[in-house]
Amino acid sequence: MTIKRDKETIILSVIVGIISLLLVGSMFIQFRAVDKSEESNLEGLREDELKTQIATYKSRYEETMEQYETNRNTISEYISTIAENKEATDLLDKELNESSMLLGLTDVEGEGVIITLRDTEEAIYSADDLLMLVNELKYAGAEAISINDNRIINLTDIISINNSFIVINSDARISSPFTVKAIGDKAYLMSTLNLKNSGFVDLMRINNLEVEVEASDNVQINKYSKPMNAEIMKEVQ
Amino acid sequence: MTILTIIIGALLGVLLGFLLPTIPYTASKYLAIAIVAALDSVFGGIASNIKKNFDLKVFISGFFVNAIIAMILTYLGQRLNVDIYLAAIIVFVGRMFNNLGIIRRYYLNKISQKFNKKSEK
Repeated sequence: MTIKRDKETIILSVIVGIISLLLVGSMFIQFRAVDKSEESNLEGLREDELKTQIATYKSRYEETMEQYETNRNTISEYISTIAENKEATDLLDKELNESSMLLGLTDVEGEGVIITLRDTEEAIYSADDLLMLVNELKYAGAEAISINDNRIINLTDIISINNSFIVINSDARISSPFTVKAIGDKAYLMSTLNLKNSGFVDLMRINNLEVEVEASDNVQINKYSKPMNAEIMKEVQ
Repeated sequence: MTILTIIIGALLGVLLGFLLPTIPYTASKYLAIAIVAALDSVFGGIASNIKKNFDLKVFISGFFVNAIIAMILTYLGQRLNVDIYLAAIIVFVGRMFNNLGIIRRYYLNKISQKFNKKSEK
């Protein structure tokens, strides 16, 4: 095959070459654009593809919404259950606190009286005197009582040993001066203690003992700090 | 010579296509229609070459003007919300098949003639 080298053929060849260059070049640019558009999501998708995508997303969204709704319901159920539980717990807590307070297991404060008892040279206080005082205070409506910071509870004993010292709560030895604190209606407590002739104050003073009674708006009484065990008794079923 | 330049041009085109930055997807639509138009012109050129009425000026003008007009029409269609590019593709591809048919028949004739000659000998 001979190669023609006349001017016309050369021009034709060059032009055809340029055209093929343009054509193939633009084709490859297009190929790359299409390839790339398939890789990079949404923006490069065709309309129908977009439609299916949207449909898929929509159904997925609906599913998720459903799931979300169910989850939300479950959560609200849980929350209401928790609230109920909390209420029950709160009630129990309150009851426990009240019981503890009444039993004397918590530090308490309130209005009341502070009574100071001192032995004199003529006479000394006996356990019976203290018992009488505690009894009178209880009768007058005292809600909490302590002697020298030993809390009086329902099991408290006040005994005198060999007429030489007084023991309270089984092992605390106390001696004069005795500071008796009581929380209750202070007016009522005061009037009960100060009854003419038969009140505690007068009775003690007749016996030459020193008594000071002082009303206070803020009496603080410590809790009963020893362990309380029920070893023998059992609850009746 | 012509075939040689075509091959060189194609190779350079491949190189160019890989070296040049990619075009955005929205523009690729126009490029696609331009490519179809250009392909149509090329096949038309080959067909006319076979029919011995090939004209370089007609070929070049067809190549560029068809591509540009196809792009303009596509743009217009986009503005009018009518898929004019579909019509352009139908026309171009239809013509392409026509021309391909002409080319095919020509070469078939040539081959069958050769066979005939061989069998005559």
